[in-house]
Amino acid sequence: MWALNSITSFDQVAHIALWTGQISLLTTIAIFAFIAFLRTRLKFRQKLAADLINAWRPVLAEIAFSEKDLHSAALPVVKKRDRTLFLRQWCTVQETLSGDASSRLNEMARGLGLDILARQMLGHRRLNMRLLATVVLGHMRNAEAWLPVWQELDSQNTLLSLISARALMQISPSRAIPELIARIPIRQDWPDGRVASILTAAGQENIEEPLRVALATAIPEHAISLLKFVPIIPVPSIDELVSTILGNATDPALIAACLKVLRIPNQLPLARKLATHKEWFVRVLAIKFLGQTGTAQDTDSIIRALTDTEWWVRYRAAQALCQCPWISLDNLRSIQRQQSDKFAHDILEQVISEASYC
Amino acid sequence: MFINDVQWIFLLYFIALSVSYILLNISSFVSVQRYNTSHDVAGLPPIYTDFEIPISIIAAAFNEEISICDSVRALLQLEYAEYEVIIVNDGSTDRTLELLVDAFGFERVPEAYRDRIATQPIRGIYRSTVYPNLRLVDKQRGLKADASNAGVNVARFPLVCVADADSLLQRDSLQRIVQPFLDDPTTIAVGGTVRIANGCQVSGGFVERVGLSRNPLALFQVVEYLRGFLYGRLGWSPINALLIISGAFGLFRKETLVAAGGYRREAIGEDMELVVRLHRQARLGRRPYKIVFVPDPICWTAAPVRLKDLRQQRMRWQRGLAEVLSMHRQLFFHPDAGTVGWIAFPYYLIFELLGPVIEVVGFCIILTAAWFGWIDYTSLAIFAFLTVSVGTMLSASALLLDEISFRVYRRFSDIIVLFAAAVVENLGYRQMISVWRLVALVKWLFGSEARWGSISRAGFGAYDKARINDSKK
Repeated sequence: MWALNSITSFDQVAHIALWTGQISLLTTIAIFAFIAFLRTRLKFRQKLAADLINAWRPVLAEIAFSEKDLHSAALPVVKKRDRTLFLRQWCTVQETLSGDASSRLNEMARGLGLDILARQMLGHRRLNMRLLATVVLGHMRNAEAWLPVWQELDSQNTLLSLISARALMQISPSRAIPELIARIPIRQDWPDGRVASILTAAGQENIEEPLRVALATAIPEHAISLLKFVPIIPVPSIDELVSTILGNATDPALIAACLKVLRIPNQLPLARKLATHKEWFVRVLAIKFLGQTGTAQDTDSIIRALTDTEWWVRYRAAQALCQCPWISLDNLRSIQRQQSDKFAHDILEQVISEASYC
Repeated sequence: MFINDVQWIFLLYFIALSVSYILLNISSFVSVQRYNTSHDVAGLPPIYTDFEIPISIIAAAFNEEISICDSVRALLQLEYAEYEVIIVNDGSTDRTLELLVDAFGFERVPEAYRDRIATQPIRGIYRSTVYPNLRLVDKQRGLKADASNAGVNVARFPLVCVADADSLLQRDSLQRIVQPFLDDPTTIAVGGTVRIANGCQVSGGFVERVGLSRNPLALFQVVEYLRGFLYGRLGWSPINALLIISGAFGLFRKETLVAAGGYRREAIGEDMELVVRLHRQARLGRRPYKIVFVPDPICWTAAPVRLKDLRQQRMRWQRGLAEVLSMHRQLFFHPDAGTVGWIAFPYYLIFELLGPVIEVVGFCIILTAAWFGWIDYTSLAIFAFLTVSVGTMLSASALLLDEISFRVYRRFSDIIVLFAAAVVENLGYRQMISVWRLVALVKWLFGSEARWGSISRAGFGAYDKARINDSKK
């Protein structure tokens, strides 16, 4: 402080304070002016958007849902400044359509040269323009765009890679799905829900074989990522494969992933063994599986699980007993009375009570 | 010489504070820009609903008979694929339990209570006969932290959302706040923006039209919340150093919360304490994790409009901050503490905890010096001008952040009113808050007992009739 005092007199301190204050004040005024400008620009854009929507909404509806020849339809002109806005509107409408209506909108867009415009936009420096272009090209099923869109599939930007994955699936599901499945185990940033949406939209016929091949050759860590998507394709060949993977699995996480999606009872003997596995997350799934596909001989294993140290295992065991068709409410009460363990008694009481509300 | 030193300290502190705020602003602008880009795309593949993570909402209630039924009805109307609502009656002495039982057809069930986090004794667990996803836990009084822990113990789903029973949520708040969990599996906690509901039009437990209160205290708090959330918190998120997730609305991975031991019952700022503890355990345990802030305005709360209530709230916040920083002092410059220990903790210590000391003492000395003629009135005016202009600029940047992101206040007249509030709050309000915070800090240092008080609010039912009209209070 002494050093500062020696350099600068009090007047100079006040001078610095005055300057800082003035700069802050000017910045505040500039921010206010900028907000006012943004509001004005927003109003202008909203008016433009409203005009564009008013002009195009009836046209898009007519093109999508009428049988008229597209070439005879009088299309309003899309001004250069309105192109982005128009593409957004066009995408919004496309998101709600499928089949012929979607194809007719695509034909109209090609007539307006939007496919060429979108391909040019793929090289735009702004990310949201590239994203918009990718979405447009996906909807248009533009085969010429495959390569540039495919190059974005490995983008570090999660959003761009996912949008590209979806666009590729729209362009050619049979080519895109193997590419997508190969990346699922390594793209930890891809949310499962979004990947599942893309796979579901591709259709079972396009997923079954690539997923089966990927699962058959995957290392355990990758198989865990892929198994999550098995429920969206209920086909016997995949079920058999899951059963085989479970039979050979030693990693508890892989065993749990298999038990979660296993739909056939041929691994019942293994599930009985897994009901006493050292990891609780395996035990809970094994008990659940026994409850769904087990037989009367599994009752004792399930009853034993009522005294498990983990609440979820006890809860699933109680639920499994409730669901067993060979156990009546009187049987359940009898099982409950036989329990010397308070936790087993309480969990059965809870599940019986819950069942009465269902 | 002494006065000159004081002015230097004051000025350097001011410059350091402004630079910190500007850096936080820059970080927030980058985050908002990313947010805008991701929400600008119409073609983002939708989340496949079977893959959405189910959520347990926990709302603790203590003597909330005015608003509890409206709050629960609003919670039941949220838009989300699968969720349950757990109301924890924390030993209310009014008719809260009775009203809930009557309104939602609760029946006591013999649920096997999992005492994973120790809580005050549970008197009973109820299940609604009308809504299958609604349960009620009745327990002995143990404050909000204890009630939230009881809710966590009975929660079924992997994510738990801890909300205030008297907060207003957006219908899509769960869809918005769950996003970071879907995007990144290492996410353990997410907080969202809380806005001031005073002056808004509320219907059926939801904010229908955003407006501003005429009460100056509420207006100042609108500006404060904008600053506090839009860059005070958003700015910390990209460097994974967010230290506070508001107790009014936060989403946590249940197993992480249980492993951490839940909310600390004795903590005054239990929401901040939990988040700091999560940071500490993950950082020192060298586990990958993320604590994220989503800027979406997802929760609205009624701000206190009486000075007594406001003072009580702010003193509690300051005391909570002191407790947390002291409790987790191990994080300060710890080699493994990363951005939390090396950036966020020093910032919170210097500018948030000690800030009131420097501000109040600095003001007192300069005013005294001016009174005795040690400095001239021109210098005094310059420092006052500096304080007001920097304070206003920081508030203005928060308004700009809102403008380029959510544009919550649709009318331009509201913006003008907020700008005016941003100027006027510097002429007494901020100094008053600083004094309260200083008093809280002194009281904490001398170990006087802290207490939770109740802040008077109106129920949603009252809000339904008209805009939240707090100017009469």
